Amino acid sequence: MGVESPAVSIKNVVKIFGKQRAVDDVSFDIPRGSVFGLLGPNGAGKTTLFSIMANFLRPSSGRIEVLGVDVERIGELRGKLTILPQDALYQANVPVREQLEFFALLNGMTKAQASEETTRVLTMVGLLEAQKKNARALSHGMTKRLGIAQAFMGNPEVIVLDEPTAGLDPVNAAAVRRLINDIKVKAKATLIVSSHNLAEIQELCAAVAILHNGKLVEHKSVAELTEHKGNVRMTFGRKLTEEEVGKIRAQPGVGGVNVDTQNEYTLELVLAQGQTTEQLIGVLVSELARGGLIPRSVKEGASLEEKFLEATASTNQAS
Amino acid sequence: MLRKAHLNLIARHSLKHGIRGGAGLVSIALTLLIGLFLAQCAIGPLERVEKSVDFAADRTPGIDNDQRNFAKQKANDQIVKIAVKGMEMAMDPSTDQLDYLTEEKPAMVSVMLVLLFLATPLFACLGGFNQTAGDIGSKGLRFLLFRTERANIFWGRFFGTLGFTALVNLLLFGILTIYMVAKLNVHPKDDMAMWMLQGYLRMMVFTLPYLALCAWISSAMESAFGSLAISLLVAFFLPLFLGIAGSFEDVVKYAQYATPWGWKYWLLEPLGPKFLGGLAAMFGFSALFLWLGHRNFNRRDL
Repeated sequence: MGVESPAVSIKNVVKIFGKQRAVDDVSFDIPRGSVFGLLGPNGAGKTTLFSIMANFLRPSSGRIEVLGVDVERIGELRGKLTILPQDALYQANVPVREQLEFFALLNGMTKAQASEETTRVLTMVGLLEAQKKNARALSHGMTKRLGIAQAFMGNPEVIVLDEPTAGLDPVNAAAVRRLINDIKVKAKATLIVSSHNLAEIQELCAAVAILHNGKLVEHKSVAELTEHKGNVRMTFGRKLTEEEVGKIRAQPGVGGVNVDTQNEYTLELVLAQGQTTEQLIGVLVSELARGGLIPRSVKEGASLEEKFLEATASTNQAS
Repeated sequence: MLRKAHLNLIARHSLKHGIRGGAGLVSIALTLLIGLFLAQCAIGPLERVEKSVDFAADRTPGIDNDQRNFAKQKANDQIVKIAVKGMEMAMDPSTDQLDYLTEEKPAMVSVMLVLLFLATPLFACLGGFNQTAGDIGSKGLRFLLFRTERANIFWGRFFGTLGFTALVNLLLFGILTIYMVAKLNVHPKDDMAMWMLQGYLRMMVFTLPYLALCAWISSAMESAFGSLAISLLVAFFLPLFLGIAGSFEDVVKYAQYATPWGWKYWLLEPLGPKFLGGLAAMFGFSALFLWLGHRNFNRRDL
């Protein structure tokens, strides 16, 4: 029996727009059944790579295989590969239900199946009540949920979500994340997600690739990428004052403090001889608690954001 | 790979929503408005002259119905002669073709068909300019591109647009036929209806290469407005310019044969080699434009 092909295999893909190399010789595999994150700053080439994956764009060279099939033969992936494209507009004057039924029919379903499946996905994203509305009447958040509904129609094996929470308010973004988490548990599909929200990617994904200026600068599991024996990441219920940060910095065993986000801080640990990380963290937490600073969570390792900034900064310097 | 089921689905969806964004409604309205106006140019004088005869007869004592009808017939004949003269000037027909259009077929219907043929590229552009361009610009096609092959989208949209245009033209011809049959007394009603039906089919053949041209242009653009502008320029204004310039310079006149425009009146020939030549030219141009459009749509970034 042959080895099962990866969900997605990207082989030396190059995409050139005019004089700009939007994707520059990128190669990596995404294993089946995983939740994979694609990261990169604006213009890094994430959407371009996704677009080549879904056959929207033709690569200048190289190729992408999805489930062992070259995406040039996209017809063979019908119903197996779906995507939530970024910024794509629906037909403005066609009711939501009719658009989804049309997609389901193209996926190969019968009329009855298409109708049933449309009801299922609309219920899943909470849009059943809006089914008769024209797409133009939907809010931004509803449109995003409609996009997720169409991406989860049928039983796709590979689902690509290009910035599923971009432009959403925190409530809607959290709802979309919950949806993805639910599906992650229920479906056996491979999910590929791109997002600017690194905490979101860290929460959802098992592995990530980081693109910068069209080049692949990192491709590792999230655990591997954020593993750093000498660091500990603490989240507090609020932003700390300069004075409080100073207190942490002054603790024995703390070499430095980096502010990740408003509430997140990465502490560089300096272990004494014979001391383990766990011991030092224990001492630190109890010392901080004594001073009234009780962290909500303590995680060993660096944040994905820190690693992301590190990876993209080093390529900036190199270029 | 073309899939019959997908072609059918996409064509039907495109036909049903042919009035996308209101452009279809504008197309229907303009086609009817311009078509009816052109028809009125041919039919109007006949109506007016009949009214004048009635007006004069009502004020002349001792005129019976036979005399009144005779006077109308004479006046109508004069109008038809003038209309046929105008048609001759516009299309420069051979004697055989002129006999066919004026003797074998109801002359006033032929005059109207010639006028409608002049506007056919315009009607085709109005109905066919937005086959794919708008959805390329809005990226709306991206919801289809991973569900079916590009060829199905291109051809499905083309057939949907063809169906939409056929229905709009049918509506125009239907209105004109009913009106003429009810109002005109210059030709037998059956003959007029039959020649209108044939005229509709011949006009649809002439529409085909222009819809194909629009499919090609639309596949190369990312804006519906841009596609409309280029389509009108290439399909309508260029032949119009060639037509006007051709009346002064023979070389330009022959340049029209590099476009479907040059062959249009071959479709108004009696059934025979020249008519078949006209059909072949229209299908040839359609095939060429569709091949170019399909090739472009298949290769480009969407």
